Amino acid sequence: MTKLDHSEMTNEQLANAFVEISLREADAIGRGSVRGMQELFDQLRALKEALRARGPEARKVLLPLLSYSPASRSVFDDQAAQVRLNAARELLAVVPEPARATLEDLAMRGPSAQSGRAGMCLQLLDDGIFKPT
Amino acid sequence: MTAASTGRAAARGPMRPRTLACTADGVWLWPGIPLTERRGTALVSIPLPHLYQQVAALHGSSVHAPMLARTIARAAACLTRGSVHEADAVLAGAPLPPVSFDGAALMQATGKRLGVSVPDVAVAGWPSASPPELFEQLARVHDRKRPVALALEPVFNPDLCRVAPTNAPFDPTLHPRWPAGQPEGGQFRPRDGAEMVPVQWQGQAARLAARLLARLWRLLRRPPKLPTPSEPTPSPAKPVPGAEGVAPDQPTGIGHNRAPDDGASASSEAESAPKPSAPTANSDQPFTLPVERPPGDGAVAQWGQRAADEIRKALANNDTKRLAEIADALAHAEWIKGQLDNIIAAQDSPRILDDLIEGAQEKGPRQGYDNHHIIEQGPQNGDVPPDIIEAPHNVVRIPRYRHWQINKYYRQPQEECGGLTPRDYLRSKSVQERYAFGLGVLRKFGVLK
Repeated sequence: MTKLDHSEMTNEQLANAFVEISLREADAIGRGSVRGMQELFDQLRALKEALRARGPEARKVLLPLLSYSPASRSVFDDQAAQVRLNAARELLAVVPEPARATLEDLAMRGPSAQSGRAGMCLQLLDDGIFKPT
Repeated sequence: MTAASTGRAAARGPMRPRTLACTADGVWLWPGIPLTERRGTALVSIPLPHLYQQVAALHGSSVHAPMLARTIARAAACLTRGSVHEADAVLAGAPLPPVSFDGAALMQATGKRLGVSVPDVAVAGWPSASPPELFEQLARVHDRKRPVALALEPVFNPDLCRVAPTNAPFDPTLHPRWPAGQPEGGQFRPRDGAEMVPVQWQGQAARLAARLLARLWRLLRRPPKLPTPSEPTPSPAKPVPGAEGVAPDQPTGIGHNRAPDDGASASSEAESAPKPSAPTANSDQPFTLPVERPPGDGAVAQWGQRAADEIRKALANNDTKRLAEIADALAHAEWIKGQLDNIIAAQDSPRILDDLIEGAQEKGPRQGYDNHHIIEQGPQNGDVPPDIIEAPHNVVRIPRYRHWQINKYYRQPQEECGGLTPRDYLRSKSVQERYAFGLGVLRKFGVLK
């Protein structure tokens, strides 16, 4: 994927790109591609920075992704869960309750990769190590 | 099936073909009729009239129902105590007459319909005037029992799971082949007199599915919930031709203590969008696997882990139909067979730390499991003395897929670690903090209670 110019994108376009990157991230995790995980993390971070720069209301464009569950045959459970996980982490500072509920749901019932990550996120949050901004 | 009483009843024991068998969940009549029911925590025999009706359908009207009920009750009591072996021994002495001729005909029709092997049990008596169509109609009653019958197939037919000793002589009469010159010349054929089964249930795939289901069956924590009669019989999940769920990657091998890595370059990774034609693992959709082996060990392991996750969900929902569907799909994909032990091991419940440490002390490897260091081996912990890394309390044996998931987590940047990988994040921490973090990871990834 070529580097996107986030400044030209609408909030909705950023949300769509957020989903695309998360889907690929789940695939990279599944296959154990370290370089892929690193690059997609960087891409997602850049996108989140662009969204944050537009204020807290802009970030709420990610809210529907907390329950992301497409009917599409091309999306696997682990990919959908990765979208929800990334959205929940990003929304903790903006809408803490639904974001936390999503993490708890993933920790309890998610596919193994996302379940573990959601559980660790909650633990580091509760330990005060992770301070969402 | 033998067409005469041959005295095989003398060959009692858990390895005999039989119509009566038990699992931890109860006592069963072939092909999967429960003869026990749960009352609170106890297993008890089903009511006498029902018991007689079920058993007499196979063994004829001379079944002594009260005696049989007492035997079933004794076996059920053993199962309630958790002793399957004891219950099996009790059942071996069950006062059952040989299978009747009509019972045998019903078994053949049922076996053919469900695609399960018919146990090679003794048959005696005289044929009735019942037309063959009647048995085919009666066999339909068992349609909804297919998932259960598949799971129990190896229990009623121990030959399916028995492994011959390596020095056992090959008996060609037990393994007949089609004669040379025929289209299938040289290939194994059914034994004489054996019923043909539908093609999709023939051969190793069906047996593998049955064995896999039998292994999964033991993991069910509740008595199985059978599909309702209105539910369609699950059909073997057919892989989607030409389907690929993952992007091409490079084979790099699956090594100890390390998840398979596809080794793909960062640019190719970033451009590998999910394929629109990919088969789905969504639980609302049939579970399917690609026909061809996906390129790279990483992709194979990815499919295995998806299957393991699907099985975990089906077990949690007590969804035997879904289990049968997944077992079918796995059995028909030759390329995933190397992952089956990993898939089964991934169903382990969380355990206490002592159990995991004890597991790591066992000699030799165990299929589906790896030894994992709570404070990891490697340069990231180069400042930790080796005797701490290799100390018994730092090494645990855990399911391989969980191990790989944990390793991948440690290698991926995490927002909650300030954008560092957990490995880099822990570099500045004390040994105690690293150990506590490692225990936390084991808990959150479902390994440690």
